[in-house]
Amino acid sequence: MEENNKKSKKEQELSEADIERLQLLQRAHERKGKQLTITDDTGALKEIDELRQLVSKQLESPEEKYSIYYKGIRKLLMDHLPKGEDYKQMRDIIYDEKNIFLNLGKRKSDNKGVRGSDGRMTFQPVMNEILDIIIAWVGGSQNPFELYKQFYLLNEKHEYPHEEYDDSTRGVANAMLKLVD
Amino acid sequence: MKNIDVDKLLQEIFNDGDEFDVKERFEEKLGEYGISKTKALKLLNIDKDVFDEILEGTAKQPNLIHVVKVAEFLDIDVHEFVKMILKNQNPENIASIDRARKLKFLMKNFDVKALTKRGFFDGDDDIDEMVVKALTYFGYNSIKEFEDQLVEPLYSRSVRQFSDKMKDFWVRSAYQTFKLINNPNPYDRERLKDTIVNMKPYSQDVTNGLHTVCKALYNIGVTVIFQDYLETTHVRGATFIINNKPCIVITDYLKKYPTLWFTLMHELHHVLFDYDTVASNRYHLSDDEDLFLIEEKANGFARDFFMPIESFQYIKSFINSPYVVDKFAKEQEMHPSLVYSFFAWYQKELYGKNFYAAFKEFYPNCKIAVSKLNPVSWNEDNIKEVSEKIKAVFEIN
Repeated sequence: MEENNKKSKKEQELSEADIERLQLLQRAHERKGKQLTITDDTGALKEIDELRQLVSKQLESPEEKYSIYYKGIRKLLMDHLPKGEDYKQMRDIIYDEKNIFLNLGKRKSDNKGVRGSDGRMTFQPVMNEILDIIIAWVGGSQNPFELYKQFYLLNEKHEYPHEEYDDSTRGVANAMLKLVD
Repeated sequence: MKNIDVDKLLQEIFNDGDEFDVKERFEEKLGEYGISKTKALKLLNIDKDVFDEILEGTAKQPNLIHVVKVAEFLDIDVHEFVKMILKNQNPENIASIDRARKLKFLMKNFDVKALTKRGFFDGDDDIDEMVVKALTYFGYNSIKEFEDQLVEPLYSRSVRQFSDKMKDFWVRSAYQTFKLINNPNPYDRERLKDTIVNMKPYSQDVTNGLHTVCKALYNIGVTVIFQDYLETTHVRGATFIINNKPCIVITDYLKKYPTLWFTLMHELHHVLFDYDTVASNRYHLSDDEDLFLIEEKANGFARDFFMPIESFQYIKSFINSPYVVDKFAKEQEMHPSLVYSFFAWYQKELYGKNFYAAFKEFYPNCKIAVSKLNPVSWNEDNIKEVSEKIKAVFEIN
C-alpha cells in the first residue's frame, strides 16, 4: 500500500515537472510584440514597446520590397509551378492574374498589350497579400489550377477585371477554373 | 616495499632532523652479528668500493639491489635509507628528481601535447616553465596546493566520471573561473523562468543578443561563461552548482551559432529540472555520454522551445525559399539559422536524411555572437584575469 502511494506520489511529481515545462513553452511561444532590454538600475529585463520603434520605420522599404518580390513571390512561383515549354501557356495565364492584382487592376488588354504599370513597383502591403496566398499554396496542394483560382477570386474580391484572351487561351483559362472544383 | 612519495621525499631531504649516522649503524650491526666488514660484504656480495660509495652517499647511480640489501642488513626501512642516500646526492641529481616529480604532475593532470597545440603551453617551454604556466593559470603556488585544493571540492563526493585529462582540465578551469567570478546575486528559480520565456527574440540579434541574455541571467544568480571548444573533450556545455548557484559553461563545439542557443537552453533546463542531481554531483557535462539519463528531456525542451515538430512540418516545404524561412523566423521571433538547424535535426531524426552541411550560408559567425562575452580562449595567463574580465562584462554600472 505504502509502495503504491510512493509510486503515485512520484508520478505526480513527474507530471508536475512536465506541466511546468509545458507552461514555460507556452509562455515562450506567445508572441511578445515587444522587445526586451535590461534596465540599468535593477538588471531586470524590461519591455519596450516595439510599436514605438516602428513609427520611425518607413512603410515602403526598397530592400524589403525587393525581397518580397524576387525572393518571395517570384522564386516560389518559379520553384513550384510546372516547368518547361509544355506548361508555358498555363504559367503565363497564372502570371497574368497575379500581375493584374499587383497593378491594382491594370491589364495589358486595355492598351494593346502595354500595361503602363509595373507590379514590382506596387505597394508593399499589396505584395504581402499575394505572397501570403502563395505561401499557403506551397504549403498546401501545390496544384497550379488551385493557385489560378485563388488569384482569380482575389481579383474578383477587389473588383479588378481579368485579362482578355483569344479563344484558345480563354479555353485553357476556363478549363483551369472549372477543373479545380 | 611501500610506495615512495617523491614529493615527501624531496621535502625530507631538505629537512634537517632525525638523522642518524649510517656508518655508525653499520659498525653496530657488525658488532651485533659478530662478523667483520670483509665477511659481511662477501655475504652481501657487494664490492667494497661500491659499498663505501653507497654509505657515503657519493654513488652516482646506486644499484637498487645493493641499496635494498644494505638496508636489510642495517635493519632499517628502505625508504629511510633511500632518504639518507639522497641527502648526500649532488644538487644536479636532486634537481633531476625534482624534474621527474614535475613531469609526473604535468603528465598526470594535463594533456601536454593537446594543450601545446591549443597554445596553452608554448612549444619551446621546458618542464619548469610548463609547471609555472599551469600553476599560474589556476592561481596556485605549488603543485601540492594544486592537488590539495582543486581535487577536493570537485571530486570528493562523486567518483570521477571520466579519465580524460582534457576534460579534467576543462572542468577544473571552469570551476575555478566560477569560484573567482563569485556571482553576488541571489538565485531565484521563478525569476529564471520569467527570463527564459523572454529569451527567444534575442537570438535574432547576433551581436548583442547572447550578451543581453547572459547579463540578465547573471543578475538573477545564474552565471554563464563561454569557452572556446577544447579539442577531444566533446563537451558542448556544462552546468555546475557552486555555492548554491547555477553556473553554466557554453563551448563553441561545432562552431555553429544556433548550437550556442540550443546549448544554453539545454543547460537552463538542467538548472530548472535537474538541480538536485547536478548539485549532488557538483557538475554535469553535456557531452556524448548521458550518465544520468537526463539529456533527452533537456534536448526535447530546448527543441520545443525554439522549434516544435509542428513548425518543422510547416517549414519543410519552404526550406529552399530563404525569404519564407526568414519571414517564418521573424514571426517566431528567432534567428533563421535556428530554423535551418532544427530542420536538419528533424530530417535526420524522422527520415534519416543528412542535411548537416546544408544552409551553411545562413549561419552567422559564432565569434561575433560571443565576442562581447570575453570567451575563454586558453591563451590567457591566469584564470583570475579571465574571471575579472568576464565579471566586468556582466556587472551593471
